[in-house]
Amino acid sequence: MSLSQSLRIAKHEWRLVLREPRFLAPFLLTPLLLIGIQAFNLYFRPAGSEGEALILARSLLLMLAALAPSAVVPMGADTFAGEKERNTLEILLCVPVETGALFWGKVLGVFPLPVLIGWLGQTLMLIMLAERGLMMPGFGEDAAKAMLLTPCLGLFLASVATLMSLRSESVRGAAQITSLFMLAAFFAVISAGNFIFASWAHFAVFATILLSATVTCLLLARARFRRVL
Amino acid sequence: MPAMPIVPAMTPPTATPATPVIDARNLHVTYASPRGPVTALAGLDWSLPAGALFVLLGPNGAGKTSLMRCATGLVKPSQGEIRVFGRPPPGQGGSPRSDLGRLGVLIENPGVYARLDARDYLAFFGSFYAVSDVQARIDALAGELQLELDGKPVAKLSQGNRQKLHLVRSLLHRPELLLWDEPTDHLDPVAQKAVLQYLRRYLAESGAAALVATHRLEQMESVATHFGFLNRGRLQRSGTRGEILSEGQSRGRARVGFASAPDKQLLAETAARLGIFIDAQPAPGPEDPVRPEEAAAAELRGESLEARMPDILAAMVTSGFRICSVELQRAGLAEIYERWVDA
Repeated sequence: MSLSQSLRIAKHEWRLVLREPRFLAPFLLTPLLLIGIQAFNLYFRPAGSEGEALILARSLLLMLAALAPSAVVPMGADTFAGEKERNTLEILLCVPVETGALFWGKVLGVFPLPVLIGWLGQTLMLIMLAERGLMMPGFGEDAAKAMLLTPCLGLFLASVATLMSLRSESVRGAAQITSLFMLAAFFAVISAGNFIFASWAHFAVFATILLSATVTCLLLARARFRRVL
Repeated sequence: MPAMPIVPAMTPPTATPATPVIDARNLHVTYASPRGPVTALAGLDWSLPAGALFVLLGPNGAGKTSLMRCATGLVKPSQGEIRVFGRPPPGQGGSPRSDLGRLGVLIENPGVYARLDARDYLAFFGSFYAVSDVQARIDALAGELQLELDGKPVAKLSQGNRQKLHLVRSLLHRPELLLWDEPTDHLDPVAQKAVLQYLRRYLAESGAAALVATHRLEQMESVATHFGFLNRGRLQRSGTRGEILSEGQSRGRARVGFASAPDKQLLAETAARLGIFIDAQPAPGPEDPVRPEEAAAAELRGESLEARMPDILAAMVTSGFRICSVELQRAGLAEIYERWVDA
């Protein structure tokens, strides 16, 4: 498989996304809203409420880890179902690009941008915390876990969206089914927040489950793609 | 201005007259559908000679597009085999996907990435091929095929310009084999002419071959080197342009124009003597803008009429008929098409 071909496909996906605001606009609002809440929490909190502010800050970091990658859903749903809807898949399959490069290029095209948005938002939150002098000992570890969770969730949603995109005939269908997985992942992260932050071992267990599901979905999607050819 | 050379440097195609560019043997293609299997190709035996411009004709659903999809590897045969440049298409027997770089494909109703402009769209596809200067190539082809590159998103292009966009895309990498499905759809007459003229020139200069599926018979009559008539997944007839169009000669009809009204009795006697049928037709009259010189006309019918025509005309002139025009009525491609497709 050629990495340069994969990157070419991925760059093409990024270009399409950046020129299509409907992909990103609704999903940029969520991180912005969470950052706004964090700013309100840190700059307008009553005096002597550092403890509550830190608990909320940690929850917001986790929520951002779970919600920022949700931008993967419309982009991932579009990968193959969008090509089918536009009648461009056959054209793409007629160019001399390796099928592996085409598949991985599509996956690579959907997952980094939402993860970068998530990381950017989380970094902003941490800068605000540091600026307010609230970076307590131990909080850095929690922040690191939340930031590592972002790409894990991004990859998971990218793999589900790609699989659904290959199975569906329409982008809408793929996005709807993937949204169910996104909600499930969101509630899992929020419910397991304390479990994840308890220790690195706990975090590793949660991340391993997510990554195993990701690998399974990607293998299923790859097999499905071979059937499309 | 002299025409630019179309192919400055190109690896000669590996297909020789002895080895066809496409070779289909007992090719069956069946699609699954909710109402049961649908047969698109039913035992096709056919080959595309090197350097040919093969025009595939047939009604909707005859199997033309399926054949093209099969040649690109998009569809797998349910039985039989197809070889392109001597090898199965990618995905049908281990041929590398780099083989697709030898094909220029335009399959019916292709889509576009609406937000890209035409140049970006073409540059994206050009990047997959070893084209030395993609932008120069895009400009040259856009000029030849009258495609406007004005920076508008592809979504805003007219249907005709989108069609030209796809034609340019299929030609960017100087393919050795063109697979074009309805290439002149949505094009105005001037653009249609430009496309067909370019196609002829491209094939002549590059030595490439082309398989073109179309319903526009009149356009292809003078362009194609070969014709094939496909119906219900079977090839009813195929041959060189000369072979196919010569079938039209067997129609055995001619129209004769007279400068003065002929004697009907004498006309009947002459017909009997020559062993042909002559039907007198109403005189078109001096108002006829096409044949103002004719005072009357007749239709001649008979066996081997074309071969016997010099003798027939000589006999008629000797009998005193003042003949001012003769038109041999050959069956055109449309009529030959109907014959084979109905068959």
